Amino acid sequence: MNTDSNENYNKRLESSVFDPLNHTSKGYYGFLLVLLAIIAWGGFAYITQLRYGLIVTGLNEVTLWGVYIVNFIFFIGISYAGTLVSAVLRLTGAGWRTPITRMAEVIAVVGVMIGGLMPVIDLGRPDRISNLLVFGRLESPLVWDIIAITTYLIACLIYLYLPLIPDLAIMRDNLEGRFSPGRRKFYTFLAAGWENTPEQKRSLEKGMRIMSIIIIPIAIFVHTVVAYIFAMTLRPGWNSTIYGPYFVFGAVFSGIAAILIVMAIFRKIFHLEEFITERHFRNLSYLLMTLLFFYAYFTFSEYLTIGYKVEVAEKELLTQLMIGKSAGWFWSFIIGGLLVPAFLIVFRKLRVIPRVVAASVFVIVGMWIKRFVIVLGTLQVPLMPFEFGVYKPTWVEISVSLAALAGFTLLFALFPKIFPIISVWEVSEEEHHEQPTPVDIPAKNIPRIFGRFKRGVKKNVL
Amino acid sequence: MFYRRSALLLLVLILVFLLIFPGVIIAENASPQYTPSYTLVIKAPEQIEAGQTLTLVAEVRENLYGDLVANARVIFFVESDFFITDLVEIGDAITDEHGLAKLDFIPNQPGVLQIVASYKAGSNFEPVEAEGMVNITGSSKSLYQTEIGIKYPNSFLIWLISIVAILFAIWSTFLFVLYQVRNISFRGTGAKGASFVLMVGVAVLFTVVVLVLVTPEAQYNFGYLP
Repeated sequence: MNTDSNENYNKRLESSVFDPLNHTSKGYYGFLLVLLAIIAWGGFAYITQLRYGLIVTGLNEVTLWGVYIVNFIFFIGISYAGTLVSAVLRLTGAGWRTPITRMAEVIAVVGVMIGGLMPVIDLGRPDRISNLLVFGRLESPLVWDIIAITTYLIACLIYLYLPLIPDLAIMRDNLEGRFSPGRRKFYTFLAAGWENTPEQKRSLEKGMRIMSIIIIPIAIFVHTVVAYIFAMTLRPGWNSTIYGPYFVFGAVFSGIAAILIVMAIFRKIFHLEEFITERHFRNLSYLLMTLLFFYAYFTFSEYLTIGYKVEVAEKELLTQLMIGKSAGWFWSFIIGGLLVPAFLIVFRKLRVIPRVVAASVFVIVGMWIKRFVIVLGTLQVPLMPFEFGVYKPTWVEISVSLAALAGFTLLFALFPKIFPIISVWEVSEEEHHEQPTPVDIPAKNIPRIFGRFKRGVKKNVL
Repeated sequence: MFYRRSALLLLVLILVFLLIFPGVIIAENASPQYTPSYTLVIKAPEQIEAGQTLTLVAEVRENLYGDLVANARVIFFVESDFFITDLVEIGDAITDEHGLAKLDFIPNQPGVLQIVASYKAGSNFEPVEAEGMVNITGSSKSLYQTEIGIKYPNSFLIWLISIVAILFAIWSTFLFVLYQVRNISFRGTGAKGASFVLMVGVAVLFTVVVLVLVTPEAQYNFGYLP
């Protein structure tokens, strides 16, 4: 690629990424207002809950966890995939990752922030949250969870910040006049004196490499601990040895789907078609498909081993799930969360992006339902001689959940207005590097399930 | 203009004084308030056979005149072995007009049972506690005895050290990474504040987390240390 085209590419890239920072449409403000209205309604619902207690929710002495805890697992799961995808692709040096890592990192931070709020909202007395640390037992998975999530949030923030530094310096140096003095000071402060010297580059690369390595076990640990909240109890369904990895794979599965949806939205809104191409969607869809297989395998293994042994309480659970009152939820997950997305990814009649994004939407909805089945399915089958539990979320829980989703979307909507949504310096560097040698990949050597390549077409080796 | 502002300021000062002064006078002349205190006594048989109903009785008295306190909520605990040995709440009862709160409990395991009653008069009061011992005789009436966790010496200490060590390793790595940001800022000519703020912030947060876990404030954790 010659110098002129490189410069043009960089200009187009900077224009696409930096223009949204100070050009805002009326539609954007309208969208923000809608989100704020939903959040305000959720706030009202939460105040109602604080005022009258958990009696205004569908929670009761048998089903003591509801959609708040479902949302907690869901958002933490999405967050987990953000870091994992970014860190793994960074460590393996996958060049195609550069336009999408920033989005993945933002998903990680926003997901853990919203997810971390959910257990607090679930408490009838949130003012007592500090008691978990002061009077908490180190033997309790709930205390492990608080420690793990705090550590993970800090890790995600550092991991998001480090690759932002050179971009902040670009904004500080090249975009003078486009920002107010206060905003420019803000960028100058965060740019930490970056001048792109070799020593600075070495320090930054060192920091990013360390964080890429350390954040993977931290993320795995966090979601394993979330699984332990359930698996450390003797409840039917939860009493499982594979819940740790089951939750981890479920998290990555739903998280990759979330990344695909976010990519598609930002690509469309900010006209990033040149930088986020079909290739990114195709590559991530392979990952999505692989994880779908893993998750289907775990699900099959989990329910088969329960069903084969059929202890009394677990028999009740399986009956509820397969043909009882939870059957609608369970089969919605199996069909909508596994079979339909698999069909959409494997059978490639439609165009790549709509097909993969549709599959991702099915996965996201299906995985939320799966978390609902995990939490509520078990709770509705009590071990004690109670009556079977009935749980129906009230308007308060639904409003707060919608507000959480609106909060998640709001933070995403605000981020590209403050920071570049694509790592400009990384994309630019990647573009300047020598392109990988094109090689012929014979179509017969590529598994048909992962794509239908034309014979003899030159493809870059990743 | 100057006089107008001065007059306005004076008016504000007078209003503030008028608002505060009566409160100060009232506070100074107010008689010292009496804060009641309470005594709790637990009554239980010295010996009972396993499987039989053990009636625990707690009596609540106000200390100044020795009045019995009705409608007071007393919580009962027994010592139990559940991963660690500690008091487990078995229920609560409200005192009658004689100041007595009664709770029935069926101990199934033979041995010496520690019982504790606790009463807290309100959110501003410290809980008052009383304890007693009951000798449970006979044979076990449980179908089976639950046992959780593998017992080994200093298990809690090892657990605590492991968690703090892992946390220390992870958070030290965070600080090392932020030290790289500090290197970046010190090798440039721009602002140097960001790295400092970040490092201090992370260090403070980590210190708070560790202190909360291991200091005597975290009494339930610290209490198990040998």
